[in-house]
Amino acid sequence: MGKQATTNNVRRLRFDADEMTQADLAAKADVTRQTIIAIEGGKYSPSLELAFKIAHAFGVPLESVFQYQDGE
Amino acid sequence: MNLFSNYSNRELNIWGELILNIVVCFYFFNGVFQLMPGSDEYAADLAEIIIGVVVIAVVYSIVVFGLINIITKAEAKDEMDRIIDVRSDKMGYIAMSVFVTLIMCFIILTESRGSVASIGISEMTPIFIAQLLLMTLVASSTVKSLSRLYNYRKVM
Repeated sequence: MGKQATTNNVRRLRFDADEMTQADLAAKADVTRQTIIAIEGGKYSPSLELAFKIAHAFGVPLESVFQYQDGE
Repeated sequence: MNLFSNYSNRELNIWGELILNIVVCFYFFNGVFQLMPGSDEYAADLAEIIIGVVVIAVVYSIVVFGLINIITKAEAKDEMDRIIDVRSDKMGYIAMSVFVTLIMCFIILTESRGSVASIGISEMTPIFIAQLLLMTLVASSTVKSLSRLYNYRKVM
């Protein structure tokens, strides 16, 4: 099995959404700001439920926020 | 204040727990190891130390945790906090298993050889073993707190 990783566009989407702060996104997704920081930094992969909440906060489909890469 | 802005409420609380662990541990074991087991005053002195520990823990909790929650905003646990808790509980459990195994080896060796590390079988009283187990609880709790701090810093 190759190396698997998820990437995300949370930081870019925040800036596209009138420079939404991490705290605002955290409040919308019902998590702490530390969790948003960890997700943006690619150090924490959120649960499916949280991933959907973040996508809903931006009003975009899930795959616009998170991408799955199956490296060989 | 700038120092606190780099730490979340959760991390500061873990630091608080860790420091309380160390303070209480130092106070308790420093007092207990100066007592003479078997003496008439042993039970009374031990009770005095335990009351001291309780008073320190209560005062410290009110002051330190109160201040932390005033300076930083308390937040409800989310999924990442729970994952970090699970990982840290696992580390604490592993540490406790290791310490208990070491204590068992120590007791068995003392029993078979008469003395280990200048502690003879006559000193291996139930109260001494209870203190070793208490140290194990404190040590595993410290490992758990350190593991939580490490995991929080790792994802930041």
